Amino acid sequence: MRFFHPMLLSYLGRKTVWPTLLGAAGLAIFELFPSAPLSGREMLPAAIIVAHVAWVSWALARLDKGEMPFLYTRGFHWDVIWWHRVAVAALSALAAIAASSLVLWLGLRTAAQIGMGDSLYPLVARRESWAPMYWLVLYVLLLPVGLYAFVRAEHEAPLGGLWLAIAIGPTTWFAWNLLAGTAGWLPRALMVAGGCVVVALLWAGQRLHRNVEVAS
Amino acid sequence: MTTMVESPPPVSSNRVPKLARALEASVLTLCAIAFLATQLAYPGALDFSIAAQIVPDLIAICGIVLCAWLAWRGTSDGALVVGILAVWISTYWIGQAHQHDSKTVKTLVFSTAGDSVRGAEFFVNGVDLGPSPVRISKDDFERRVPRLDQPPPGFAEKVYIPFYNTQWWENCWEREYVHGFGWEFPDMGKGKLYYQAQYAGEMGAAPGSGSGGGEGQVSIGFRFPQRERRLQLLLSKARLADYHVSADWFRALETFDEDGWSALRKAAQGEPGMDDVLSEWAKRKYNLDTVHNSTDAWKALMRVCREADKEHVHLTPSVGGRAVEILAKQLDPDQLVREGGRVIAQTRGGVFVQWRLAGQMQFGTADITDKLSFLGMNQDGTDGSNQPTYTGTGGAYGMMLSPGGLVIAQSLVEMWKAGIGHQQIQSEIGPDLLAWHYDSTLTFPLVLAANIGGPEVDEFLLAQPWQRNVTFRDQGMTVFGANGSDEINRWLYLLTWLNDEAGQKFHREHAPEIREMAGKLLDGGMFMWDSNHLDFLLQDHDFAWGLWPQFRAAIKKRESDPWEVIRLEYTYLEKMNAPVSAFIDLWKEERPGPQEADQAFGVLRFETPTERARPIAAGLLNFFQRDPHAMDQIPEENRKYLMAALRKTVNPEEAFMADVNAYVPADPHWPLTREFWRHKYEAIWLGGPGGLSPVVEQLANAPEPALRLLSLSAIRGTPVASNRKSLQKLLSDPDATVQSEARTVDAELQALAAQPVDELTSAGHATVPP
Amino acid sequence: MTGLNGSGMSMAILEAKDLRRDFSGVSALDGVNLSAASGEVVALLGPNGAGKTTFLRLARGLIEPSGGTVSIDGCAARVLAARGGRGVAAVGDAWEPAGWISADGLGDLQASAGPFSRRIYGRWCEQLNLSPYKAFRQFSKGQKRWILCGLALATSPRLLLMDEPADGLDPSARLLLYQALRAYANDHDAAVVVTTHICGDVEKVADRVAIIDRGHLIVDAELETLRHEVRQITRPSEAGPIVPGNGCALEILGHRREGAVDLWWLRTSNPEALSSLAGGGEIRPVALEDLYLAVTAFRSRLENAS
Repeated sequence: MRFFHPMLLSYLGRKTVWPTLLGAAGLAIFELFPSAPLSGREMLPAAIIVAHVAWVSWALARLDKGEMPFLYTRGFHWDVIWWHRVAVAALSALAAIAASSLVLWLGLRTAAQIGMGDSLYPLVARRESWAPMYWLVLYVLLLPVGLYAFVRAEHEAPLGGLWLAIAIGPTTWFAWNLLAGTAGWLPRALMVAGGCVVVALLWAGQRLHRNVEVAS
Repeated sequence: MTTMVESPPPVSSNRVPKLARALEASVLTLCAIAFLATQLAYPGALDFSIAAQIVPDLIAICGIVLCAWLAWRGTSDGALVVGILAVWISTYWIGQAHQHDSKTVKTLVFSTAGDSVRGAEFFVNGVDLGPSPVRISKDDFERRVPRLDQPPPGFAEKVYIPFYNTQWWENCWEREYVHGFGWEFPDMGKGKLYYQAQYAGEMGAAPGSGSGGGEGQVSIGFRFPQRERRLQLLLSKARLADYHVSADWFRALETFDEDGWSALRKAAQGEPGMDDVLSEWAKRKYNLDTVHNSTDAWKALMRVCREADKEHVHLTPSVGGRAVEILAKQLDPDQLVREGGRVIAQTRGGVFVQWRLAGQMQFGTADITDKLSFLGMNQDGTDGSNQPTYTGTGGAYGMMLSPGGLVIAQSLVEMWKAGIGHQQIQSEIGPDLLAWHYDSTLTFPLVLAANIGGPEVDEFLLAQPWQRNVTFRDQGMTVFGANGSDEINRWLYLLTWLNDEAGQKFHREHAPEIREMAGKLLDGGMFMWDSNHLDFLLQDHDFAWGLWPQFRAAIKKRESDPWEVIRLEYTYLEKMNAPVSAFIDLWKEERPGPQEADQAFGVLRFETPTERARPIAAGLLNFFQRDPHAMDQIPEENRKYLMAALRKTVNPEEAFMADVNAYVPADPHWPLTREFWRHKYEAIWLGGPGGLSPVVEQLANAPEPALRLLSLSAIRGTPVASNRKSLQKLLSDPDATVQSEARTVDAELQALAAQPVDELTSAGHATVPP
Repeated sequence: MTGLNGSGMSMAILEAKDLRRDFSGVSALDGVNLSAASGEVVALLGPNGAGKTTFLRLARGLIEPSGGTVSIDGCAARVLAARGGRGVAAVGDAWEPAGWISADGLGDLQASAGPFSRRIYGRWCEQLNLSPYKAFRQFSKGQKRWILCGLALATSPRLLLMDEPADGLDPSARLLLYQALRAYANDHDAAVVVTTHICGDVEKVADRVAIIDRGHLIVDAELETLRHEVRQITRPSEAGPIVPGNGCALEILGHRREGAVDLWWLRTSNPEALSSLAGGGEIRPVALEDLYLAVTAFRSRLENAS
């Protein structure tokens, strides 16, 4: 079985153009304005990321539109379709991260802050370069939840994914605060656990995806 | 051909929901456990031995189990609600119980401080509670420790300690209660507690003043003179071998832990050979002889970092610190600066101690406070003290400065001192410090950045609103003073610290603003010289002179003790490199009494570098000799002492010889008081560079046999090559007593040279001569 | 009422047994038994909402049966679908790709999914002079269908499932399409299932016709068999209802009263024996469309009466 299909990627990717553009623009524009150095833990980008993830997951999961039955009847293994959905979502996230990173690394934020008279710049810009990486971690945690939630919604008790999202969100927040402040075995254990949850969600999503109903 | 029909997935198959249910049950359970795990910060969480917390612990566990079961049954919404309630209720309950418990001390901790012994047996009222640090429940303590109305046997036996002028300490420390908020000792009423410590068969000596601790904690500074003697003998063995020591010798020295390298550092002040021994120790321990290039140096530095983190401590005067001093010059500056930047980015705060040792400020940090307990005693025979100077978390995310991080910091300092990597440090480290701490409550990193200076730091500081009047409400704009004063504009403060060309230009152009700020600092009580809080104002001497009248007015307003006033005034003059005439003029104005004068002259003797102190003391001596009324306010009996103190500052050897020569002829019973003299002057030989002083040779060549006898004490204590040469001469001394004593010393030294180092370890076995 | 399976073919590619599907408690298909053998074209005829599209979705494995089974070459359709459904091609009503993709792009997409003949596809599109680079949304309804049928044929499937494949095509294109389907079934020993509600199309292409109404399969027989066995009898209403007698294999497919006359649509393997039932009335052969209308109307009346 061939695993990578650029045409399939492109076909699915077109469904995520708007959320990608708006997610990337949202993060990039947000970055220009706060006067305090970005830490990656601001609430607004987190909200943008949650919205982006939800929109992308929803767009990729709309199996009722005619495009999807067409796609699912072309002959692709459904696991291949699933992993291409994951890849498209990941690329969407990476595009948003790339846009926000460029705003920082090309000095656009610094220039904007200096233009706004912020005396902290350009010096404090050096502590912001990792902010997009925190957002990337958030994407890595939330995208599998979103993808899983929507494929889970095709089965019985469809809100199961939503409850998971509600549990994982605050837990991630608390664990994030803990991780940022300490070292030792507990933060490492939580990171490993988070990684396992991510992998488990994607794997379970693949299995559930095999039994979705592609309606028209 | 018909193929077998594969069984299709059953309608509404259990297979699909079962997978989802299993996953959701697992993840919800994991989330609940993760929430609970964050509460492990509460002491006693999930500790079933604490009765008050059994119920909330059970609620948490049962809740998690129920949550998992509900999720498995397909009721994920119910599982979520149950999980949240269980975790929230239990953690809230545990938190409330903890708040209540924290007001009541349940566990007592007893530990020794001072000498860095490990595991000394700790006695309270004659009962051995076990090796230090002792952790014992309050109930157990009250059950095992009897009430005593009288001291236990052997209490208050005098133990000789060569230290300051206080030579006789008691062998236990007496208190009436254990430190602790709200702690009571009901069965014993107001009965006393007698603390003792024993190590390697020796009872420790306590100074009778000064102890530390916290709630339910007692930390007493004990010293073990026999052990200290073994350490000194070990050093003398090195001297006898002209500093060529073996691996066994290093192993023996290592058994003394911090006292080992501490003694080496102190000895190295006057003995370059001891400094070489310390370097050799570092080279052996970290294989520094295999370092040939910057890559090797980096690997070695990482070994030091790893060890520091593993041992949870790094101290700059330690062997690791010496390794850092050696390696810093061989490191690639770019690589070190990158690593330094990484440490700064991760570190939001830290607690480190600084203290004076061997004439220099030293730094150390530890993850475990027990590692710093040896700092509970004076290390230098001066008024050194351990003070945490940098405390807190900054209120943001990140870690505390780790011991490995301090290794990197020390490397940067050493590199800077060696004149290497200034450009990289100025362009990276200084800006990084500012970037990560510009708004935190910690000012130390910012002060460090200002000290580093450089174009980026200059540009940043000058661009900030340093002119603004600030209050404590201006977040990130103020700086905390020594007594918590917080209404100083931090940017103006830092610009005053800035020590480069831009900083000097700023000082010149904005002197009035700086003076106004200095006035606020002085009014806030910021003249604690031990922590150098005002030194930055005195970098510019012209400015310092301008501030002098304000300073004097401020300290007179705040200090009620006149001796403290003049001590601070003399300190100020000394720090701004004032001419001798300033000291004399101050004397004329203040007309200090004997106690004040002693404090003032103490500044010259103990806190001023010798090359600075000597001309000032000489100038004062000259003034007193020229002006007969200069000391009218001082009683006759004190004048002699004060003049002698000044002479000791000008020329310690000459003053010593004058004292001795003045004493000896007047006392016909000199031989009978030999013990007393030996003890008095041994404090000089053993506590400082006295044993290396040229006065030893003068004494050895003195016409008076009594003085020649005195030289043998120094030779015995510090058998360096020059002293051994004098000993050889004294072996054929015409005076029989001197010759006999010389032979005794010679025999002792030969025995010491032959003595196995195993007998001179921290817990050595030989009977050591007093 | 189930139809008799008159395929006579030994190799069933598609096999549905007691197939059932409910939607929100409403039965869209109920107990359908239908098969399609290699080389056979089966036309699935029925009114709107009869369950034709549901059957195709089940056959393609896109939805889960509520009961019964549907298999392709012995493999459950759902399992086969999840594995990609190789060997099965489907053209669904409203199963259309995104509008931005071109015909050429569709070819690329299909080629990346599995075996695909660009030559066949290219020649197919040339028949209607369709530009390969135009966006899909810019084609007419019929052209879109043409392209989708070409995509399906170019994958050389064992089973073709076509839902209203000629929808929007002009008569000549329709003819071309059905000829192609016919030829494909013959040349490749493939099974073709075509849904339509146009009886004329059935007669052009199908070997067998299955009439489905309200989720039930009413008739399932070869066209020739139906022509031979189905007759319409006209007799006076006063003669009463026709009751199948002993020894006479007779199936009443439809009934309608027109004034004083009853029209009966009957199926029997011995049409000559119907004359006694006609009672002097007229017996004539039945066109497929006529049969379809009679059958569906009769069923509707029966269900309303119950």
